Amino acid sequence: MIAVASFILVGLVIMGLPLFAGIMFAAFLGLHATGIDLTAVAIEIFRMANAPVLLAIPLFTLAGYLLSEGGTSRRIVRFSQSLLGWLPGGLGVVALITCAFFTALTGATGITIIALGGLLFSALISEDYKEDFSLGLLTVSGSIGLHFPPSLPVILYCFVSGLNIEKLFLASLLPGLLVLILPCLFSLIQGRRWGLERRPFSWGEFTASLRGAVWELPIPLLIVGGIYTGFSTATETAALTVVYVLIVKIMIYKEISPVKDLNRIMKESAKMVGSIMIILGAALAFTNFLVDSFIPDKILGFMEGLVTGKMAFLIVLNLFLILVGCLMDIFSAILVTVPLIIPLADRFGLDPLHLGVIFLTNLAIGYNTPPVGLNLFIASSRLKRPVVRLYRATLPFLAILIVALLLISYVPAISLFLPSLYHATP
Amino acid sequence: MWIFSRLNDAAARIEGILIVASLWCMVVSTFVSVCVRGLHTKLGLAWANDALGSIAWSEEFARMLVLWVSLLGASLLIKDASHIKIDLFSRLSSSRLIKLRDRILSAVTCLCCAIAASVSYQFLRIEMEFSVKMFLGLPAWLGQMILPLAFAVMTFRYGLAAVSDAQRDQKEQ
Repeated sequence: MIAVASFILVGLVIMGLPLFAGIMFAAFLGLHATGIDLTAVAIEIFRMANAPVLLAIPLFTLAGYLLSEGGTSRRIVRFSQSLLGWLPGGLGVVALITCAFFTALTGATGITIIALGGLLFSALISEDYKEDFSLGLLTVSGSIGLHFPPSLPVILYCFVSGLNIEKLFLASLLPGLLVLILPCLFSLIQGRRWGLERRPFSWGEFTASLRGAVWELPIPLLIVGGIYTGFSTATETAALTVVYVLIVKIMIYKEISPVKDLNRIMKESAKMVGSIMIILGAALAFTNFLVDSFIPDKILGFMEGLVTGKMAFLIVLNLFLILVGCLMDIFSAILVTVPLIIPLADRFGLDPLHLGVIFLTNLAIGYNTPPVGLNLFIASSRLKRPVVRLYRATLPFLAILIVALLLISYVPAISLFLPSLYHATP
Repeated sequence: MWIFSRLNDAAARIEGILIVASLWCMVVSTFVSVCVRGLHTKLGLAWANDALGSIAWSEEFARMLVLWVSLLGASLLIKDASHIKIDLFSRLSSSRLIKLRDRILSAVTCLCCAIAASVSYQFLRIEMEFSVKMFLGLPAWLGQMILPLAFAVMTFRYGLAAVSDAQRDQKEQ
């Protein structure tokens, strides 16, 4: 009976049942089968009110939504272009860096492509970049930058795995730079190959654009500074960021009306938070059932018979996570699979921080992987191109990201060097 | 059906007000406590230490609001029909089949939310029976009541979507 119900449930999830309902139903079924009272689900959802880390999520989401309103994207693009536009393929680099800035602040939610896609796409085409290149670049740019603070997936990963947020952000820094720099190099090489016209560097334009974005450029530094100088925790930094962004957007740039816009933005950000957190609540209940039924131990036993050695495990892990990443959004993927993967990784001797970085990188790649990577559909709707065309356009960038993934997976020092310098409590 | 639609809109308005109020409280309480703590630890002001003691409850309050904002946001999201899902089907099939599928999935989700509302209510009753307290000595059920309430509204919304095309029409608009 339970097996039939589970089978139907998987079918419904594949057909498009909201993920929270699928996971919650699975928890109900599992708890019922093991004779545990179903109120355990309500108790697990209520646990969300007892986790200080989670407070950072609505606050950083609100800051991200506030920043995506008005001219922030335009100002950051202008500044980056004045700084790097003189390079061959410089606009591609500008696009990647600007998108990384936005993705870190808005947390790989697709807002980057929506907020910046149109603006950057027309800029790239007008400077004679090939259309396929531009499409591919903007599609993958939706998930480049999710390693950097205050990225929501990193915070959520830490909540689920119990890792220290500051340490995982630190561990993700070099891998995040690698994921950013490799596509930038590709853009520079292509720019040179196509003989694209270079913009001469202009001090006048540079200072004008710097003046324009002077209040927004320091935001990442304020966040990193706040967290790593010990002045504030990640949650407190999130509150400071919201207040800072509110002051900048309402009082300095006057782009958000506190009467007309603020309520709408708050509601939109709450919907985003709700979409993640309700899955988190359901996943907490489901994980409770999995642990009570020793499912992770059973998977561990099965995998031990199948895979021998760390290298083979890493290959299987990478393939599995890319598949998960292309089927699910990053938040659900973290919530559903992290509790299952952690005991396995521990058994195969993988450092928890290294695992976290591998996880995030894989999911970032999965986001762009055909046939159902989420970024492909967001970019298709924003840039008004058929999704099949985006499959082809994204391939070179996917290959580059997979090179980055292989380096990150098989050279642990890229992830573990910086945390080894930072003496925080684990 | 119009009466249900009006009820749906009224619920959304109340949820919107609660979300905005909760987010403001969350931002202000966390901001004030970080500022006061900064004044105490960096400048050594004695009154800041006293103030910190008197606002110690604010962290628990803000954490409770995370639950409120999350559930209210999740409920409000149903109106946009944009809860996170793995959606392979709608890229492959005809619009008539998709409409049918949406109704079936809404009915299943409605059932799930109804069970969640019922078990949340049982949880609330247990907490009331044992007179569990939260910050400032307030009864814990005051914070927890969002669980059955939000799931009840979600049950209503998914039920409505299962019997009408209101949700789909809204999305298309």
